[in-house]
Amino acid sequence: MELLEVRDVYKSFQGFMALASVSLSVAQGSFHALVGPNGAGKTTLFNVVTGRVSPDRGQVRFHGRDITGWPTPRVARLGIAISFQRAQPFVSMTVLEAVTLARLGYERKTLVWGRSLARHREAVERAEAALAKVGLEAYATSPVAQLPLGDLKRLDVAMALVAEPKLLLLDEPLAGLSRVERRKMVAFIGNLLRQEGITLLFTEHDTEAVLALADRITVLHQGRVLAEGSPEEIRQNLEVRQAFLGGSI
Amino acid sequence: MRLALLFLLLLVLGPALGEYGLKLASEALILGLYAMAFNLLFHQAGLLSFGQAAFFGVGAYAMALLVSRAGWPFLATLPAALLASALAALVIGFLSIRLSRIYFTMLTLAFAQLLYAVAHKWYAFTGGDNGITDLRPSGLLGESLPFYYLTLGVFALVVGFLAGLARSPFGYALRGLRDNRARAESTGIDGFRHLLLAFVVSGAISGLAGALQGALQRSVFPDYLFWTRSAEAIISTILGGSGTFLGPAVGGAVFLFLRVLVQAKTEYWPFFLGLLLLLMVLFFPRGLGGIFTEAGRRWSTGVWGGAARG
Repeated sequence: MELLEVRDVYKSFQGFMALASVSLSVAQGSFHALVGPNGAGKTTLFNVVTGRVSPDRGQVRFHGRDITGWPTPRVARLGIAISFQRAQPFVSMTVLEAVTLARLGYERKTLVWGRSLARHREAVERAEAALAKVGLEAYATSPVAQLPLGDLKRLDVAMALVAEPKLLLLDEPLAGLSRVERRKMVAFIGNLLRQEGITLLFTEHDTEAVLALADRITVLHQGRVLAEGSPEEIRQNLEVRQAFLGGSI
Repeated sequence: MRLALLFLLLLVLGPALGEYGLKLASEALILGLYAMAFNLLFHQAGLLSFGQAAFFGVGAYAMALLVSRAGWPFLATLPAALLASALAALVIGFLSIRLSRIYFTMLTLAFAQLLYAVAHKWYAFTGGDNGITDLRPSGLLGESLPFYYLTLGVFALVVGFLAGLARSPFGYALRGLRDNRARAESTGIDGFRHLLLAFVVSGAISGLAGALQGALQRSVFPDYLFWTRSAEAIISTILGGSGTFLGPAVGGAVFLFLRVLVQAKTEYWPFFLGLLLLLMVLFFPRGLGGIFTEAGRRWSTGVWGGAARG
């Protein structure tokens, strides 16, 4: 069953065609990679899915429901979580506070002021559980501002997980990490999401990681879908293209 | 705990202050309320409003009009002033919060100046530049000491409310939106709604301060809505430090006392104020609150020659 469907989406910015006739299906439970050079339209496509950008044409469907043009907070509460490429969670808070806030945002409980954040026991417990899943439980009371980059990414993932999403979008989860950290992160993401049964749509430049993680790959180039298939198919497809085109991607 | 001690001190200090001292202390508390309302937007939500005078003035005029035209008792006008300024904030906030940063600031300034022009010219309703005078509250509240206690009571309530708000999910959501709006919205927090609510709360408290100020001065003039009144909130906050909870209130008190002191000696108060602000921004960007916090930290960690460790 398709969890997310992008149908024939177009988006241009001041004459620049960022996305042209892009279609994409993400099957429930699959790990779907979106690859392509910088400027291929990966981030724009993410923004279209999360509602930060409205497409000029086309549709986004989630669970068969048309969510095109929905505002970001509403998309988020539907079960689509995102972790950003440049993870900059709430720097003025502690780790636990940031994740608790993410949970309360998902529950739409942030317009109340009768009770302090720390006394929303259930949300705090869920936040603690999410931190344990990403291995940050020891840093619960640390200020976010003091975390190193790798931990910030884990924190950002915990903030996404705490909302119990059905679909997780990861924008270059490995950017800025060292080789060792990358390998750990790939294993970590793979194990965690399989365990939780969360569907994944991600972008990544690290080919090795993409091949290790993805069940399915869509190649974007200049705003268009160049190829789609299993990792094996894409590998062959790319080799064929490279043989003819001389490695333009 | 420390807050409770502070209020206790202000409480017992009351009778010791003379007539003039009580007036000045009441005015300091009122300016403190107003500056803290401004700082709710500035520090927690990351919005620089240059139009707080609009709500200060609307609250003051609501009180003045109800007392002088409708004969309401002063105390009953306070909830009305709160409501009127909240409503004004709802409208102005709805129109300005969608704009980003500098445009938001300019639009709030424009709305406040618009209201100033209306109050200044509409003689039939607001009395124009003659203002509304003779607003001494009837009964006990017309006396300085009870009025000081009323102001202190309101101040304590609002401070307690703001402290609770800062720790609540709403306060955290505002900080989240300030820290990283895209991240906050993608966790399900609706930025516009939260900021609008903060704007309304801030406007309502400003209006309450305006109503108290009008009763203290026994009169309300269009300058309650003038942009310099908005600047007072900003100046108090810079002096006291936006990052410290009570900072803006302390800054407001210091601002008032300095003004009285300097104005008694010279006519160059704006010059001294400018110089002071310049020095604060250059050398103590975190304000008086920042200085105290830093001093406290150094004292407890013994950076100053280990004196604290003995």
